[in-house]
Amino acid sequence: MTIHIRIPKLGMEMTEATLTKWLIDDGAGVAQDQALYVLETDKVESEVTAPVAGVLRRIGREGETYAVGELVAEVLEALARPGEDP
Amino acid sequence: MSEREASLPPAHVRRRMYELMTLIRSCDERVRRGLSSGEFACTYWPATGQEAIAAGLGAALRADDLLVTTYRGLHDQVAKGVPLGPLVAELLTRTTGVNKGKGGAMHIAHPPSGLVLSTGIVGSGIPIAVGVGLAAQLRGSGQVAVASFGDGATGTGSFHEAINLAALWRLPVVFLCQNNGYAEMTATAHAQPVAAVVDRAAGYGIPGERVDGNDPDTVHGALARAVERARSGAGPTLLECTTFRLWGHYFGDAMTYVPAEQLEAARLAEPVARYRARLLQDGVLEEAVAIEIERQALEEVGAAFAAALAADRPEPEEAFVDVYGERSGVMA
Repeated sequence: MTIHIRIPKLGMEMTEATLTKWLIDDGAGVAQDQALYVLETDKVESEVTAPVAGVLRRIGREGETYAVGELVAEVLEALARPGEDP
Repeated sequence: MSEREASLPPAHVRRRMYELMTLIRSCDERVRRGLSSGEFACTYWPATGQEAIAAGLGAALRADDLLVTTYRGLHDQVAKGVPLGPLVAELLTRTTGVNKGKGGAMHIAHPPSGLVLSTGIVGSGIPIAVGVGLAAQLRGSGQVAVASFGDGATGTGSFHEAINLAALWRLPVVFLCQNNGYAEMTATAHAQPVAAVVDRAAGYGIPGERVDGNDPDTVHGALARAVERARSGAGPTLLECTTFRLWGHYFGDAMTYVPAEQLEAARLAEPVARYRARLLQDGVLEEAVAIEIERQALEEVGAAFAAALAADRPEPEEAFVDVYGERSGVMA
């Protein structure tokens, strides 16, 4: 299953944010809760984590500013969580 | 029977505590998954890491006992028995929420479960719990009020005033400090002149106890003593449970202020996996039963989120509805 990764809304006033740095390579595997990218707003810098384990497909680019809800990545979900038998 | 075995809660209580911890963890993970993928938006202060304290609380209190907690309250709310569907709907500000979607994650209240209030200002819930305890004493209802708060709250004036009054009037209150090591981004050691929160109990002439807040058996025992003392009319106790917030102050917190080795140690000491292993070892749970508990938690959480996401948000006209219980005679 493909899980869409959209820019989260981290504060009540937040409408957009800058994807400042990818922490995982395109096409690489990620574990659930592993930090995917750094997101910067006018207020705070956050690390956004992977909602599921799987393979990352990057869509968003470093340095670009995106609106809340914009699609910046997909994770092709792994069949089993790390540590579990498939 | 060893001393440790003799002091353990009965098997059905331990199993219940594991069920609560699993449900809390599943729910917290589901919130974070929805936030990180952009599926929904809400302000959120993760409770992962503090499940054992809530489990001990849920198992030690009577259904009609009363709890005031904080914005990092999901674990306490689930453990006190707030129904999961309306609780999740409130987090997502839906009309089907416990407060019709107008309180949000920070202000969960569900009096039928004894969850009086969750407050957003650090320290502000403690005097409210003392008022709740005073009401219980005046009514002679035999109820106990619990104030649940973090280490940061112990530096506020409201903490001092509230405990002072509760101690003076021997109110049926338990002051439960969930010491997770950080007040927002400030390490506890940088904010308090005493070695431990529990040291402050002596200043009010009340008993204090400091326990491993990642061990639900120990937390349950300490809470049971404090609750019994409060119910018997002997007055309040200050209970400090040491723990750690594994996902920081708010969702998205990169925790750059937490030393890497401290975070690594805290992750290794996280309570849910540790308790699962112990219950298997003690023969309280079998592997198949543990898996079934975890499956049921995922199912319950999944259903709660599906229902909440399908529900409506309150209309703007609703903003001033329910602000006062009865306005006639209150305002001109």
